[in-house]
Amino acid sequence: MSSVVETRAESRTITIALLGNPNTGKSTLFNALADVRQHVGNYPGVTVEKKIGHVLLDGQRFALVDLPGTYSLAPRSPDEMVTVDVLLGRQTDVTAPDVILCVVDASKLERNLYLVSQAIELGVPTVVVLNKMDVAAEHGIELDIALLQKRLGVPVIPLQADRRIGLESLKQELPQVVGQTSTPSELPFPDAFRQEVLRLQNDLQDASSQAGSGATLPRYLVERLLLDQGGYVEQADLPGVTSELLERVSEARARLADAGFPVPAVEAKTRYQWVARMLDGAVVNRSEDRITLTDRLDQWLMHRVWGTALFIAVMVVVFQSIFMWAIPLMDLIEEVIAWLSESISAVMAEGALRSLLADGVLAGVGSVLVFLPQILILFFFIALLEECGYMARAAYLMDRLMYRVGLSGKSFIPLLSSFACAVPGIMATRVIEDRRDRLVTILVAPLMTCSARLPVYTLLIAAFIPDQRWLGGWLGLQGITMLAMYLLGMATAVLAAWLFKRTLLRGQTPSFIMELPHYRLPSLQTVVRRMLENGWAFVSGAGTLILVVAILVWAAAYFPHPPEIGSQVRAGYTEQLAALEQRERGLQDRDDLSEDQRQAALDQLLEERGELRAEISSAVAAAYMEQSFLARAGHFIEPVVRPLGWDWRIGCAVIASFPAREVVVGTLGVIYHLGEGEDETSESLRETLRSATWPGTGRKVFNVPVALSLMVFFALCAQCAPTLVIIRRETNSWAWPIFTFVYMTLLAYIGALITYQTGMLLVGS
Amino acid sequence: MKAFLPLFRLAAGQIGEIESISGDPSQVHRLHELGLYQGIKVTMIRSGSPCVIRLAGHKLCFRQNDGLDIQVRPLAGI
Repeated sequence: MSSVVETRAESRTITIALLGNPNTGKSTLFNALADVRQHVGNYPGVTVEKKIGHVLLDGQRFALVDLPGTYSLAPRSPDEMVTVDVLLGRQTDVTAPDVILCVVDASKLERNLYLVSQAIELGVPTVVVLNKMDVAAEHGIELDIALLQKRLGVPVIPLQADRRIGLESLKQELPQVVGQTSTPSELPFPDAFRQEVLRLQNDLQDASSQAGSGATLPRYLVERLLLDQGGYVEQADLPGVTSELLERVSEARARLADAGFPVPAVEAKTRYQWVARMLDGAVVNRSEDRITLTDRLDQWLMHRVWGTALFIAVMVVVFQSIFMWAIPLMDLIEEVIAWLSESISAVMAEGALRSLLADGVLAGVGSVLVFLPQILILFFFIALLEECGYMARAAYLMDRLMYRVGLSGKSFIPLLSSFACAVPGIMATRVIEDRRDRLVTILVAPLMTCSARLPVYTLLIAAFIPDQRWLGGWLGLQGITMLAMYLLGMATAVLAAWLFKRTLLRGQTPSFIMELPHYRLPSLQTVVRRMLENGWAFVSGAGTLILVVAILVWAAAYFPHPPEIGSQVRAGYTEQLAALEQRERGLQDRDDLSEDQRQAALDQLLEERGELRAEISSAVAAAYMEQSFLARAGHFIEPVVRPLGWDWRIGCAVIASFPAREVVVGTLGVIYHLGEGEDETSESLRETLRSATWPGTGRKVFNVPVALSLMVFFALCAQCAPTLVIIRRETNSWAWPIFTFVYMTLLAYIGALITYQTGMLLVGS
Repeated sequence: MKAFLPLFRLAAGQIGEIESISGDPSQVHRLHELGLYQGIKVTMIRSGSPCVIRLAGHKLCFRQNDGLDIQVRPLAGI
């Protein structure tokens, strides 16, 4: 036997699939085993992430496939089908596994062996790993591993993955198992049932040989077809599964029911009976009802009042940390990008290439990197809360609230995270098992007021909302306007979620079933790794696309860039420049001034010249902008945005903000002749906006209704390329980001229209 | 005293034996996979909806809904 293994060793990589319930420490084991880890995106067509690791054991290459945590191998969705397909070698982009490594929580053996009973039916050599042996011992559980191994007919290896105890014996065992068959002392299902499966399999074989297709179905899938009435396997379009075959399946079910095996109830009963026989005498549970530390903690942490209060405190700490740590980091990233951009402008000659690098590429890179601090910090906390077991309690506490919206408690953290940034919020929806709930959460998350909207609100509120205060300054109109924007986002999200759950994503009764894991001390290594993985997933999965969008918008704002425009604008300033020079010369010739006086006069001239130069360059920038494709687009959409009270320049700035909302502030600066580098706190930008007029008239562009209409638009619109790209990544389809963009833009338009029109009625034109 | 009552009617601390689980097949199936099936003993830890129960060494939290009917035989109360 061992010689066979050795000859194989030189020829190919052995594939090991890791299978296990959630919270069994499967990913910890994966990370402890793998020397090299890679995430290669999703499996095609589904939202399941593909995680593959590599390790070299005794000169033999092993590939480890980490499958998503699952309680059973009875697929109910395309996502769950992927696990079964990988295990059966039907997933074409993953090599068929040579070994299944089934990770089992030793403290919850009974339930975990349910999955093992399915795994050993797959006909692939299996190794059972008993993880969390320490927790089992703590709970007074004693195990006869040799007996269990004999009964299961597969190697059983005790382990503590988090402390790497038992890892060596697992590494020694793995190469031995390849090519061996697993033969449990008894199979879960009785003969009568297995006969029916065999009969169906023969029917399938006959049908396929008649049709000449040669397609066959693994025994396990035939069994699932029999067990999962109305399940996913029936709809999965498997070869040979015709309506005729499904007819035979129902006949087989009827025969089984007569024989005392009613489908589907028979599965749970049969498997748990099998588990009980496997464990009988092999497990001694000395204290079934011992009050554990987890129970004592839960008395407080899940308490309606104390638990909720603590949860709010935890959330305050999380968000404080984001503002304390992420905002300075984001500012730093922006400063570095601005410095790089200036350096490029200083060393390169003016032209398309310089502009591309400074305003296109660097701005694009900046708009990707600027998200990283928030993603990393949020995922640090999310990983920490999940690893220690608190996340499930948070979902329990928030379920009552979220249920009213038609969602479950699991949607709370993703939605709350979206107040910082929708990108990590959408990434955090992976914990939501229910596909519909997850999609609804993803669709409404961008409506939460994220930090990128703040610059827009700050600018417009400071410029146009009167600073009226009441109650001794505690209550201000500006503050109320800001709050109203937050509430508008939230209320719209609640309505949209409610609507989606009743129309587009209507499903059966919303279910919320969740395991409450034992509390445990989180491993810092795992938390940091998960944080970095999420950061990398964003940069690698979304970075390129965001960059492309940023460059496209840059190109629209830059081209066609006819050079004569610049010279024309500059020509208009020649006289002013000449006048300055003349004054300078005049200063040189005067003898009646002391050296100090002359110096002061020169300094003033220098300052004036600097100001004039800045004015010229912003006039040039504005002139180019007015000639650009972006401006043409602005003019083109002007009839559409006129009812919102906007001129073409606002339309332009809104289009330019597609890569990221906050870009609108800078674009307004350029387009209203202020030059680049204006930010929301700039007094001159506020002044400029206040004094801007419609062309050819003295009528002001901005008034309170216009400012409010622009704010409402930004509260509801989907002007954020990273969000749309991450929705594509998470849903693995372009349909959802397109839908999100369309529905949010429509909402934003209608909201802005209502705001402007009613505003104008109140204010009067 | 009635022989069976819905699981959700158990008071906190009360123990019951699962008599039957019926309703929406996918929810019933999920509960089976999570270790809740006929004959097993459960302790109600937090009643209401969602409720928290303990069974065979672990805890489950789930929401009461129209698609789910779980009947238990109450065993002991505290």
